[in-house]
Amino acid sequence: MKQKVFNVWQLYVLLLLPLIHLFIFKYYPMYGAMISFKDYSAVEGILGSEWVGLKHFIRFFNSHDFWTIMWNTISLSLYQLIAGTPFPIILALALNYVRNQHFKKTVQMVSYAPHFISVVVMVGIIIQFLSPRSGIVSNIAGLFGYEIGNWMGVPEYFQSIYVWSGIWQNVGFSCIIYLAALSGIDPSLHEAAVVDGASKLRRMWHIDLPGILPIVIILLILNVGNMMEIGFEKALLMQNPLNIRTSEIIDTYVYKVGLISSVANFSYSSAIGLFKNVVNLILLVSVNHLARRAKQTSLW
Amino acid sequence: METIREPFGDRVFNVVNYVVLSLFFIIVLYPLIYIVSASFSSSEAVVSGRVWLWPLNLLWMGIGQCSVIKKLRLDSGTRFFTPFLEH
Repeated sequence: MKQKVFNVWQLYVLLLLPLIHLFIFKYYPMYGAMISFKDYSAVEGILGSEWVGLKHFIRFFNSHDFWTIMWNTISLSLYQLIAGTPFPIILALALNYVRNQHFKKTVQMVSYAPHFISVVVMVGIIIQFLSPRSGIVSNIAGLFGYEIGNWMGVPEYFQSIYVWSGIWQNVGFSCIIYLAALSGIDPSLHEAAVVDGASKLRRMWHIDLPGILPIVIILLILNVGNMMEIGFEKALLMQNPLNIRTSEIIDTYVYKVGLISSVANFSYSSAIGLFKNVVNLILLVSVNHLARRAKQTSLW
Repeated sequence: METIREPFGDRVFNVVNYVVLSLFFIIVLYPLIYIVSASFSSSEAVVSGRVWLWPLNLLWMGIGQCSVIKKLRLDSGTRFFTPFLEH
């Protein structure tokens, strides 16, 4: 055993680097999470502040915003997960059956382009498009004699705008991984299916989909593990006083309560952040467990 | 070598596939072109909603208002950008 380790010591040195990174940037900061159980004051420091137990958690659970914020966060990320998962798969399947390579490459390249637009610019584009006076959406609606109001100000539309603009932006980029998985499928399966007279739709259903299912499940597990964190910047930028009822999610709430309010409350906001991460961990472990029980791929 | 003709269903599939992908292509590309056009158009044309696809009243004003370039013009002391920005 000792001899084995020593023979490949170079590999262990390589492994050391990511481990050090993990420790410094992921594990060491957890020491600061301690302040969610304390009344943190900058004068006393992290260790010197007084322990208060679960006070901040209880305050959060009892605050009258709690259920609204939880509901906004969970419904937004579920919406994103359910609406966002099928499109990259469909796009990858469709591209996979295009024989004209020029057409395929052009569509792919254009579909990647929005991914590289930064969040701020993206929200600017959304606001510009939906502007009730000069936006292109209201122009098109005007052609048909309709008048649309200010969609950014309608609380009911916030989630749809958020999710569908996200799909527009990321569908091309997320289909890359499925395209890679599709190209890894054994071509002899397809040849056999063609000889047996299977249509393209049948081949998709019986060869391609089972072939990429492991990747789909892994990505789904990872996405569920991130369920409580949805793009903080995008939600914050898309917020306005009119749609705050549906656009206030946990992350924006933490930001407002903990950092920009006049009485910054670090303990309270780190308690909320800790709570969020615990929920994420539970979700990740239970979805992984479900996947393993269903005899599918799982993370561990 | 004689190739096997694709069955009718597959040819329908091909057509539908190309149509759907072309539609998708337009949906993704249009906003990108629009934003580039809008940034090169005069702000009146954008605000009044006359910009559809290509820039109108092509001016470098939209870009000229970009603070980075203004700053470049003010700071650098060179007259490189001024021919485009003076109007």
